[in-house]
Amino acid sequence: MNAKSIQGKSVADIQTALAKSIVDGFKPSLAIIFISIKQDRKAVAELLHQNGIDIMGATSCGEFINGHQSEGEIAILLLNLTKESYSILVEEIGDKTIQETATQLAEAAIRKFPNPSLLLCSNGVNGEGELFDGVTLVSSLEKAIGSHRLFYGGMAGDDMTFTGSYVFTYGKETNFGIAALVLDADKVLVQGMAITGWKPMGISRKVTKSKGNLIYTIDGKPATEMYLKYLGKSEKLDDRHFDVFQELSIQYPFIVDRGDGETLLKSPSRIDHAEKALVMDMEMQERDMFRFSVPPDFDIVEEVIKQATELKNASKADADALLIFSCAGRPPVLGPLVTLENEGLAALWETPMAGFFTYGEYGRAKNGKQHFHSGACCWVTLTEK
Amino acid sequence: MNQHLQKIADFIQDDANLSTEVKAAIVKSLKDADKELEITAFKLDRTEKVKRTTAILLEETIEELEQKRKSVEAQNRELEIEAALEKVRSRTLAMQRSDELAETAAVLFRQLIALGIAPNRLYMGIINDEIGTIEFWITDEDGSKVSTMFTGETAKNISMKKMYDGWKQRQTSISIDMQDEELIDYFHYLGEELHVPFKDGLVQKRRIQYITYFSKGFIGIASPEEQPKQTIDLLERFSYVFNLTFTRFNDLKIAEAQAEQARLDLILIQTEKKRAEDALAELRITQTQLIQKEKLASLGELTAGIAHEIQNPLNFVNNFSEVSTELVTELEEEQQKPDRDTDLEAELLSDLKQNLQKITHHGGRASAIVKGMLEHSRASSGERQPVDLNNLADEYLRLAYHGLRAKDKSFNCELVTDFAPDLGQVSVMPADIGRVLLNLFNNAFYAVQKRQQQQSESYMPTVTVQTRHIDNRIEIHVRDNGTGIPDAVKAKIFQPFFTTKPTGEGTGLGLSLSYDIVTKGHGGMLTVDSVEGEGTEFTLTLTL
Repeated sequence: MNAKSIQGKSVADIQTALAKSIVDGFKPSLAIIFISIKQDRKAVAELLHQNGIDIMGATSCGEFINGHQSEGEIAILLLNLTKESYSILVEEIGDKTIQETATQLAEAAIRKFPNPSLLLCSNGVNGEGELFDGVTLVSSLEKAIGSHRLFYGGMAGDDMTFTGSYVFTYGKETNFGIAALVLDADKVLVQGMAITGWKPMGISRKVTKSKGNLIYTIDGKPATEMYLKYLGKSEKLDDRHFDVFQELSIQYPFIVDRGDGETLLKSPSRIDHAEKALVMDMEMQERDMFRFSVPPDFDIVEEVIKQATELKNASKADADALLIFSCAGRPPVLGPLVTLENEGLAALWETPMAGFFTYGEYGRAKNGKQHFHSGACCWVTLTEK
Repeated sequence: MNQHLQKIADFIQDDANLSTEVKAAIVKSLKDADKELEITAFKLDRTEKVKRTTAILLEETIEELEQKRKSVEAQNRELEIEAALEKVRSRTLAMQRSDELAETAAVLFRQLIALGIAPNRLYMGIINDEIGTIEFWITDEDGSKVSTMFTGETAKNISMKKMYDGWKQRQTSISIDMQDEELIDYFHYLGEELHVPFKDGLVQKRRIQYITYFSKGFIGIASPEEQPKQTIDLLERFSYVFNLTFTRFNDLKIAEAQAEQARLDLILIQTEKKRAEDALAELRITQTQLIQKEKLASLGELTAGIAHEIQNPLNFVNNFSEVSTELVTELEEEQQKPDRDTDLEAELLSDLKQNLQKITHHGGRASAIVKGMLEHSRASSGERQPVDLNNLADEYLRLAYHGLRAKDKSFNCELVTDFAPDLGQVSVMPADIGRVLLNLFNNAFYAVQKRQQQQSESYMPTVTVQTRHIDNRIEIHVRDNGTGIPDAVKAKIFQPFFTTKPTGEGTGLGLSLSYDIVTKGHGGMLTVDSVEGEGTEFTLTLTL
């Protein structure tokens, strides 16, 4: 399988880049599109369709390919994968539950290929700014498709506007659903890893009062006061304009114990002053244990590359293409290091790469189980066997 | 790009001497340098921000951990205290005797010392409010063991008065800061008057007593320095627990006193039981003796009547014996005659035979009277036999009358008998019923005799015996016109040992035994109807 990544600031740019990419006879059958909500995704889809290319796309919070990282633009990974090796599914949730939708998706995937792997994009936030329940999606999908199956991916973004995100294929898109590129695992090797780099700080803490996404008390103390005090922002307690997510929790999320030895980052997205509670991006139940965290060290880039190198050496396989689902929280925290991280991975695998900054990531940590992640750099390689 | 690097780039681009390749290489290096510069600037900025936040986070965490450490230490201390209190509680519950109070107090003192209380002395005081004293149990000066007990009088020392007053005022705790005169007086009182041993305490210029109270006293510590509030609080908690100890001590003392009283009561009961048993045995003997005495008494009363009754048959026997002797003499003389008159001899022999038959008859009658007398004095056989009650009543009426007459020749009484002809044979224990009738007759004769002695000669004493067969019962009425029985006495006449006769004349058992014989022995009734000054009627009723 050959692959090429292209990018552009407009449909015209993409048209130009596409034309340029096929000059050498490259004939892509499939395009994976990461596109800003500012761009005309339908026009891009139409363009690719007219060129006989199947598409799966997701809106982004910034997008990148080899040597180029952008915001508000378009990044596309073009693959000339045989059509017998893949299938594209887009399931709208609508009035169904996430569990039901995930089960339908899994059943459809298995109907298509007895041994499927998935590249997955769900929506990230809805019109109300609520985060998609990735934990439920993973657990439902894993249950329906089998825990030994692989699926990697990310949650669609909306340029951090929290106005709504989209996943789509040609002729169909949804702002509350799942798009999946189902691969025949017997023909396409999928390898990947998710890594966050956030480190726990301080003692273990316990949620002592919560309701839904609201946390009222931690270790019996008011949660908002405690969080702000411990992170040096006590003076912001009554400041209703204080953006706790951008100013604080994007860098200092909670590291929550999943109960299986792995952790999940959960972040306060805002303060509910009326309820005097922290509004979390994901639900936390009473008695959930967590720790405060500090952002990844600067050697996180080396760590990501090191672990990828170990996996590459262990698998002894090259990659035909690389996709990266990197948390939208990483650029504010890691700055230019994020670019080094992405470029480093592409350099390691020496392959065309495309990726976007997500609202959440699907994948496995090193030697870990299938999980939903937050704050992670989740990469995946595709290799036609 | 960094403005300085941009200037260099612009400068390079404008330099016509440099080749395109060189320019490209330099511009690439400048871009790389710009990138590295950007990364370095980012790292510096983030390091500063993260360092500041992390420092706060660490500080807060450290402070929190410090608070937790203090909290854990406080919890550990609390656990230590609770464990120490539990040891005192356990020892208290294990107390089996009241004299284990001092040992339990010693356990309490040891726990206080183990918890870090370092006084000169620990002590316990039990207040006796009635006599104004405090019984002290004190440890050695190092607090190691309870070594001394003494009693202090609150009136003799001001410090002791303060200890007492605190208790009286229901204080939880007090402290007495003894200095100067008060301390000198205290040492003098304890050392000189009560001979309490001191090692180094006497050289103190200041001694503070911390006292916490329980219901009947207090525990305290003596120290040359002021003690922290925690120590007083601790002492209060131990006092609270020691209240349980003292309550148990009191309970044990009460239980021990009760046990001792029970032991003494048991001895007393056993003694009294023995006495009662002895008294009962004696009473039974006495009762037997009394019954026998009653029998003998009535027998004695019979004797004169019997003698009178036997006299008649004896007279007959004597007379017929004399006549028979004469007849034998006459027969012998006739037999000596040559012309014996055989008809006369036959007639004499016939008369002799009749006489002998009469002698036998009257001898038999005397024998029957004696037999009856013996039966009267014997215990009842308990067997019933058919008896002619008319005869029995008549016989005993006469025996009783003649018995009385034998004692008092001047006594005369009209005897009226009204025997029912259809009475027939009645199944009774004849000796017992005879004894009843004899008793009733004797009483009747006694009553009429007494009235006769009180009244004019016109009075005619009369005793009437009447028998009746009514339906399925037999009634025997014994009526006299004697003194009668007062109502107050009437209710008691069937009670054992009740008598109106002078001492020595009656046993008080006659009517009582009669009542038992009739009611219990024969299932009958014995009733009395009497009018004082007019007479008395006893009715004996037997059911057939």
